[in-house]
Amino acid sequence: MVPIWIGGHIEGLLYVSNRADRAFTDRDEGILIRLADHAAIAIQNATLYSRLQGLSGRLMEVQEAERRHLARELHDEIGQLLTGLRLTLDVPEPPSPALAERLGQAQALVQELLERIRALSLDLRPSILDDLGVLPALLDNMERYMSQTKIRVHLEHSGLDRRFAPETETGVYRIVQEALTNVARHGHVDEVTVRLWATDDVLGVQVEDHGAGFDPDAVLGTGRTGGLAGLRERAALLNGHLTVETHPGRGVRLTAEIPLNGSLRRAGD
Amino acid sequence: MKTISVVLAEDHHVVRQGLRALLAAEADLEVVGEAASGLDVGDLVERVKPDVLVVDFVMPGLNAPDIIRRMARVSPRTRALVLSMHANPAYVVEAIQSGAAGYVLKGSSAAELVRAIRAVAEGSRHLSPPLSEEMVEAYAQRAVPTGLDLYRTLTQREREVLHLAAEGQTSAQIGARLNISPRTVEVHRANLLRKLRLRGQSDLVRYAVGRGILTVDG
Repeated sequence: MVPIWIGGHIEGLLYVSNRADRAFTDRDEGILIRLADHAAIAIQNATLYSRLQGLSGRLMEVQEAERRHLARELHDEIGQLLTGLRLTLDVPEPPSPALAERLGQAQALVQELLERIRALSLDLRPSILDDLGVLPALLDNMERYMSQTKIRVHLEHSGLDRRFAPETETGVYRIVQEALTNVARHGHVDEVTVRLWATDDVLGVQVEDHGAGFDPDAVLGTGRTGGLAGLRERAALLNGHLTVETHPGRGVRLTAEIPLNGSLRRAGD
Repeated sequence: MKTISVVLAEDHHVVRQGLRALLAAEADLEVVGEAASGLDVGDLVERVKPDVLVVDFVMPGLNAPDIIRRMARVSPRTRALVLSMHANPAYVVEAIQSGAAGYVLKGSSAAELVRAIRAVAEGSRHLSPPLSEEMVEAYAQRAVPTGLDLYRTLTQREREVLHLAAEGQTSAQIGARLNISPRTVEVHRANLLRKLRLRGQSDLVRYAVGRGILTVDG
């Protein structure tokens, strides 16, 4: 029996029994102690990693909750107050033309404020994601994307006319949003394909372009992964996985699968 | 002139007050009830059975589409007019599919709202400008599932593993061929089976034949 030491504490014990008809030697013991040390490092790394992942997941949750709160506050509360103000300014028969003109100007200002608040709220977190789900939210996002970037989004989808867990909807929405932003920034293309599919067990997403691509080793090597690491992390936090396939000049294909019931079941299991 | 009875369901006090004042100025409109929560609307409508329910899309407790579906059972003759901050056609489609007769934007003028109430009370559908039937139809089209070729969702590695596995090669053989470990081959194989919704090797072979990946001799 050999203790596994981590940071001055015994974290576990390594039990070894002997099948041969002889006692353990000092040499055997030496090997076991070293083995226990290696195990200790592996256990420590795994613990730290899972703690880090937990923290990172918590951070994303908090950020998303904060964005949702701000977006709602802006759109619903401030937006509603402005709507009330607009109705108040809607005087059927103003007593003088001068007053009518001032009222008209005030109404135009309120209208502009409403539009700005709406845009800001959408950027933070579209309420359509919470109100109607991931497909309407993405359709809306793509519409704006197309008019802003002039990149055509070709969308294929099946099984998306339903709701998923809020964290899954957020995750998939952010993955597509980020992937499309990357395409607009680096892809040098005028077309991108988005595929979304859902079964009872899995929600899948793929974003594919035939643009500039990049050298994945070089990008991951520099540590300047930008959105890519974040995307992978989002998928991992939902117990899913994300694959990026790319080569310089050959476009980028990003594929992610998110389990809908805990973990990705292996087919045939 | 026949009076149109109206129930206002709107959680924001200021907006509700504005609406009430606005409708009070119209001789043919009469506000017969008000609710500030989605959960209260159903009971109120069932009790007073108004001609028109003016309901905010986003309400605490229950959103307009759910309220309208419920209303169809308790007061089928009441026509619903959804009032919303959202000009997005997705919201309009959701509202119409739930049974709403009209959709008015909160940025609309007082005259527009009154026009919409009269229109839905008469039995016609009313979308407030700039919303249009074409826009709603275009969105509904895009939301219809397009279907997709599941093969396209496979990564390059998964495609390679599919082709070799269809030929009957073992994980060890495929691994050696692709320069990856047999265990990694197994992971790719599991992933591709899941994506293609196949159950095992015989399914895989059938799929490969069906797609022309594998040709059968004879």
